[in-house]
Amino acid sequence: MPPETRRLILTWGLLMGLTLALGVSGDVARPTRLGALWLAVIGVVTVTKARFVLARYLRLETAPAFLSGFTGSLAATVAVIVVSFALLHQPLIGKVAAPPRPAAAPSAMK
Amino acid sequence: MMWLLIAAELLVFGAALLGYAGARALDPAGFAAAQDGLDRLAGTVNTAILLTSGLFAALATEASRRGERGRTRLLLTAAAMIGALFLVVKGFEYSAEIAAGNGLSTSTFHTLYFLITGFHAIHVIFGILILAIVMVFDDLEHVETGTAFWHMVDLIWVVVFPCLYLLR
Repeated sequence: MPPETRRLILTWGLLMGLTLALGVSGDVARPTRLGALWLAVIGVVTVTKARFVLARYLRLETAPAFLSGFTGSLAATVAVIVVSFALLHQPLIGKVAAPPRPAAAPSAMK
Repeated sequence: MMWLLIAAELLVFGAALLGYAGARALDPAGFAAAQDGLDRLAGTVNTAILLTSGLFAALATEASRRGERGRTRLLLTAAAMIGALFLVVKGFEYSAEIAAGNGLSTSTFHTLYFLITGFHAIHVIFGILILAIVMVFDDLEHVETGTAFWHMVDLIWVVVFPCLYLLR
């Protein structure tokens, strides 16, 4: 197997691992509210994944200035979103259950 | 030229996501409740699907650099077919949302959700068409350009998915 092919498959494995990490930290199976720490973890994992795609799939590792520019712009965008969520947030660290959804309004009776 | 397009697309989606964060700041509880209706598992599966498709596209570029035309076409076909699977999962997601009574005008969250993910899905469709075109016109320059567009679609989803589905 050519070394570049092996490297791409390794990158894909890392991206799959990070996707799994994102699923766990984002608590995909339950309607919880995430604490600020988990929001930060999701932000860091997201930017790491984006950097891998830019560096390896798009081969920007051969142009470090462009890689830094694109990664920095994405990181800034994700950071603003994560901070805005964290500022308007309930828990600080853990994960808490979502409040029950309100029942649908009863239909008008005759 | 392709890099200008990639930068412009990232700016457009970045602005949309910042707008989403701004709208969410006005109604965090409403957004969180609406987000709970999303199928986060399907979103995670779709992320894995696009990243896998991206791998095949990157391998196709490598094969093209080595002058392996048949292998290049085969890998581009695999990338496009796996990309189409993303649209199938997205279709199921949209069907479930619509069946639950959620549409473009249900709430601010749903308006932004359908617009951002819908705009991305249109890029996936264009990406598949571009991959199909470079299967025919398969010199290295075309393959590199076509797969760069596909990786951009991949990259946008890598950022959109956690922002819309996971952050809450």
